[in-house]
Amino acid sequence: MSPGASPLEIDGLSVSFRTPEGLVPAVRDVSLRVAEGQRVGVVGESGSGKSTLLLAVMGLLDHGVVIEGGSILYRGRDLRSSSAEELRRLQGSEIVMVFQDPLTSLHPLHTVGWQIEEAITCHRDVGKAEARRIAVSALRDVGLPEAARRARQYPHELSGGMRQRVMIAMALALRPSLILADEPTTALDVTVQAQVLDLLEDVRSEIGAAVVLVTHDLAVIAQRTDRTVVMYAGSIVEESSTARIFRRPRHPYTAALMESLVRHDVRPVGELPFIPGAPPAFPPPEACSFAPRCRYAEELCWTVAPPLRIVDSDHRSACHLAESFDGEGVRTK
Amino acid sequence: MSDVSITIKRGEAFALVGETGCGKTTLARCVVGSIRPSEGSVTILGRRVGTRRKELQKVWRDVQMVFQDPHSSLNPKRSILSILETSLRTRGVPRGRIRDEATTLLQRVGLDPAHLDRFPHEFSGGQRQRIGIARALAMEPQLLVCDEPVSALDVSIQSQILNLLKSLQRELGLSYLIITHDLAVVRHTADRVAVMYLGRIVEEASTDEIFASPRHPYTKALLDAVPVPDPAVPPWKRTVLGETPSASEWQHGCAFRSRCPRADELCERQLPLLAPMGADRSAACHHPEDLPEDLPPSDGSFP
Repeated sequence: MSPGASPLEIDGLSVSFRTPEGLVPAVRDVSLRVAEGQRVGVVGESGSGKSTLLLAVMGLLDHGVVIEGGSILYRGRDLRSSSAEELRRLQGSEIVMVFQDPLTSLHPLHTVGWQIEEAITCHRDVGKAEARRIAVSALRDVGLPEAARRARQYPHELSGGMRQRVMIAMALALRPSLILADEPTTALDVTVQAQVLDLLEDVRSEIGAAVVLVTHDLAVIAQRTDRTVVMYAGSIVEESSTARIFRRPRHPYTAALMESLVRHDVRPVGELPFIPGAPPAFPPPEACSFAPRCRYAEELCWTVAPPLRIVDSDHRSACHLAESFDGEGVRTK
Repeated sequence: MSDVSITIKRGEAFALVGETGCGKTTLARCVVGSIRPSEGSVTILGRRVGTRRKELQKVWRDVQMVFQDPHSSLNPKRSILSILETSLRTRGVPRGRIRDEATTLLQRVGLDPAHLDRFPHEFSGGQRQRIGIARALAMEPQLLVCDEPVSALDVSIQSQILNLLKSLQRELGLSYLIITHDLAVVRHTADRVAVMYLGRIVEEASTDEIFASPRHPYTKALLDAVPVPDPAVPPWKRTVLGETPSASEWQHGCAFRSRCPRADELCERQLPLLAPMGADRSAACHHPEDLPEDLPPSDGSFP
């Protein structure tokens, strides 16, 4: 493992589900690189493969979901060939996961304080008393009122927002270099969501961690990430800096997604734009998976799957027409 | 839920917005008669929503519900025709005309009538939500109660369903009670909005007014907290902290004071009641937000 290597490098990763009908691809030939301290947003809808991607990184794929090819490197170390023990060690110290419902990542039968203390004593060279002090301090830092009392409570005694704060406190205490978050605030009230995202950013910037934030929420992506990766039907269809993608998307799906977004800050005028149809369940390998819903689709789109390629400075798109595509981007006031 | 009064006019779309624990779902259940209020009443088209089955059956001719989750609200063992048939027969449609009526219903919600004999699992989430709407319309109601009508759907499908709800409102003269936490849904579907917090209405106004000039600090905080899909806009300003307290923690005074930047002694002593804030709007606050310096132009574009 080389400390200087990037926190996460995924190369040509393919993941499929085993079904009675055969292997169904969920992630198809995905490559992406996360730089030190970078915030990468992965956005997509149902069937995009974004959550499967994250689970594959941590070796948490369900039985019956298989990695068919590609590599996953954490600081140069191949996670695919790491043992379960090695992965577990990494998970607690250098990579922290924040999932939508922390009830599934927090142990229900231990107090939240104990769980953070355990993680600390496992991965840092401190004694139990010091670990307890760090844990309570972290809980306080994430804005949990009466931190010492809360530390002695069980996950089910805390609200959703508080549980997420506990996960962030764990990140603060462990000082990981990579945080993997899958819809971390989707289940929370909007006022709580804003606070939790703010907190995550404060902690992240303090410890200098990189973040991979998986979400369906374009607004969260826009305001909280440096780079955006757009996934559709298992593949990356567009990738660039967040500012660039929102200013001028270079893939019809990205543009259509932004256009059809229902926004609270825009006065409705007539019918809302929408993308007809729905994401494909079984995209054919020799065509663009978005062609059936794309208003620009040409013959080539139906016969050749467009590769993800560089179409502009620091901008990749999987569209045959990307160069001539003049996406509208978002309305900026 | 305490002391909640709302009036929905014919052909009007009324949104009830708030976060967890605000009481909006409870109110929706009272409207359709599945919960009996401890005090007060619900009246639909002049008919009181009672508790006896015969009374409720009459109510269910006028009020129908569209549910949040299109995956669990349709019986997977029944074909679409069968699902619609139940409502159509209840309305008194003769057996011979069921298929015709069901065909019309599916067309109205933008689905292919050729799929009448299919089963729910053969449809996508967005299509299932359309079926749910068709089922609600089968009774020819005057009022549709929509509980988070699009929150379980993919982003690119949400706008389709919102468009459908709006056009049905126009075509059929329907009234809506829309329960949601999503302000974008409110903006695009509702004529009037009531904001709820811990069981009370804290503000009520037309949709345009609420977005242009919120008077209650909680309404303003809600609006400020919603993320905007524009990297050029800095995220959330810290206007309110913490979480909604549980109902038992709040004893006196304004329920919002523990999180309100404007709260003072008066707010702790005295519960603010809804007071008029304009021609047809009200807010329950001792220190309402100031009106913005420059109200938006009359075309309603958001400042």
